[in-house]
Amino acid sequence: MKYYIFRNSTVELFFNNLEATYSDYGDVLNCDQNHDRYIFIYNFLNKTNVDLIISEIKSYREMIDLILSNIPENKLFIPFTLERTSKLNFDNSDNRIDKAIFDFNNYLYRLETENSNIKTIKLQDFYDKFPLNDRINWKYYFISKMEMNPAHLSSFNTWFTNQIRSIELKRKKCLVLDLDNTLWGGILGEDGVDGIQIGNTYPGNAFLFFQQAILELKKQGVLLTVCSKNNEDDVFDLWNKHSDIVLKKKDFVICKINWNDKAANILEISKELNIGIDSIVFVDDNPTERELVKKSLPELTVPDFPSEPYLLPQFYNKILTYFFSVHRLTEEDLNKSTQYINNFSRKKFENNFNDINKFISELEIVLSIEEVNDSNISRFAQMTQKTNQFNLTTRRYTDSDINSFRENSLIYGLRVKDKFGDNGLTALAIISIEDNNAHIDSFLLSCRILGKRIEYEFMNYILIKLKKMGLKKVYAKYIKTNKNIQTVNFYDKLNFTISLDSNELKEYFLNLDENSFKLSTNTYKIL
Amino acid sequence: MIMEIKEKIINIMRSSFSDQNIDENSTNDNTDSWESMNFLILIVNLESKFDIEFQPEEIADLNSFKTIYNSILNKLDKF
Repeated sequence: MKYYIFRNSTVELFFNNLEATYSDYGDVLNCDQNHDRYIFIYNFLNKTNVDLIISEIKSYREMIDLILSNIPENKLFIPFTLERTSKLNFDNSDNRIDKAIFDFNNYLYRLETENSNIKTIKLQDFYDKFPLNDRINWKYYFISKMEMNPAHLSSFNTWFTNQIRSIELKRKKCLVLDLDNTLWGGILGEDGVDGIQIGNTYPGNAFLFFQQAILELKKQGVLLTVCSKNNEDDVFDLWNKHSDIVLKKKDFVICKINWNDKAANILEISKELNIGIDSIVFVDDNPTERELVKKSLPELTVPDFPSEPYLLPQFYNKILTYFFSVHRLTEEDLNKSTQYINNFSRKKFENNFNDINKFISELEIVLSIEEVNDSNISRFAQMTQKTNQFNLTTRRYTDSDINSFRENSLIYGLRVKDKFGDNGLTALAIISIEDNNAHIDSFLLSCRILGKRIEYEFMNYILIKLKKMGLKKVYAKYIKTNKNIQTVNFYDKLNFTISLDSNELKEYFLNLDENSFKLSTNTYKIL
Repeated sequence: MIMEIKEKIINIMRSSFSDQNIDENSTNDNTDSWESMNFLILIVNLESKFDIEFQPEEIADLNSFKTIYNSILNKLDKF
């Protein structure tokens, strides 16, 4: 990933983990268009004249407009917000600089909402860790024009990597929680409903804080589950009776409350939710339990649990930042919790039917094809980033990548609704067109909608479309990963001819003229 | 003690310059990785790892392992 960094101070040290080219100080005109991402990090170099500073800040806006008109539209532009590294006001009531900074930052936020290729990074979140007089080291400022204190180098690297990760949406999906001494103090089986610690006094208030914080994660689309060695009845009884408990049964999509091995329980959770072990974070106060689980499930994330309840807020902040932070939440993220719960009632329903076709038609599935546009492009990119299991080629793309394909590719999303709810945009196909042939670059379905043969219907829809366009041949690939084994024979089942079959890669083609395709309009409604 | 300090400086230089070839004979002139950004990283690292501070005038004169070593030895001696 090649970065180009617009800057007006010495920042090379802070981005030394990137492959980056730097602009001259304050130069926004010259820039190579062949970079993948563009960063803007400016600071009003510590001038003392308020009017000068304000006019400098105002000029940054014009610089940004210039940059945006110069760099390719489909490339990611990452501006940093402006923050103070020092305060040299003579008059304490003079807040003109603060206001200029505020206006500039708002300008960035507004740009971000209007353009999905702009992702603003809030530098304040980094500076908040340090007192104002520690943000700049004047020695380094004067000898090498450095605006940030080099003492914070490694902490900046870690923070910035997390910011980029949340821009790329590599966050975890599910939190597995222990109960005793994790969500409350004490042991339910021994101390009883009235003996456990949760409520308004220490340590109960620290656990209460932790529960409230986790509830916020749920609101952000993180799936909450329980894995606890307890008597199930005791816990249900507690949830019914205890008025101070914030997290109740309804907040968890799955509860494994039993005496089985925790690793086995977590494996079941991953299967039932159809998500990989590497998308799960396991929180347990017991170090032996953590160690055991980690040994049998090495891909699982198992953070150390704090030794004292008053450290829970810091612990929460850590798991939030490292595992669940996201740059911008899409509508799908926010609805995810409800969707998984709906899937659960769907699964139970499935067991009552022997005939899968009958099952599917009774679900009243409505499929609607959606072409890529400015408002759904983030979701398209997100699907390529997050989908592992039903993903034929597992190619990861950013908003800007997708945007760059729009010119010579067909990009289809599929919105899936049924009588239980709206799954949202949950499947994606990218087909590049070259001469008279089509190449299926990406084809994927979110695990939430699997098991209803929607993948065949979606592919048939595409093949019909390609045939109508007068294309001759379709080329397709299966690229093996650790997770997509379930798609290994997908194209075989669709009667594609195999032209290469190796361990890691299968290549196929299909002559459109020689085949006809039909949609199952009895089973699905297609809009 | 002296060997320890030498070794510590060399290790910090190697990691700051991402260059395993640094040794006691390395100078600004004979070392390609000795460029301005790496040099700044080196100064920052030396200051924090030895808990010392270089003055801007001194920094300009640090152009070889030997000058760095002598300067650090001087600073540590003062305690």
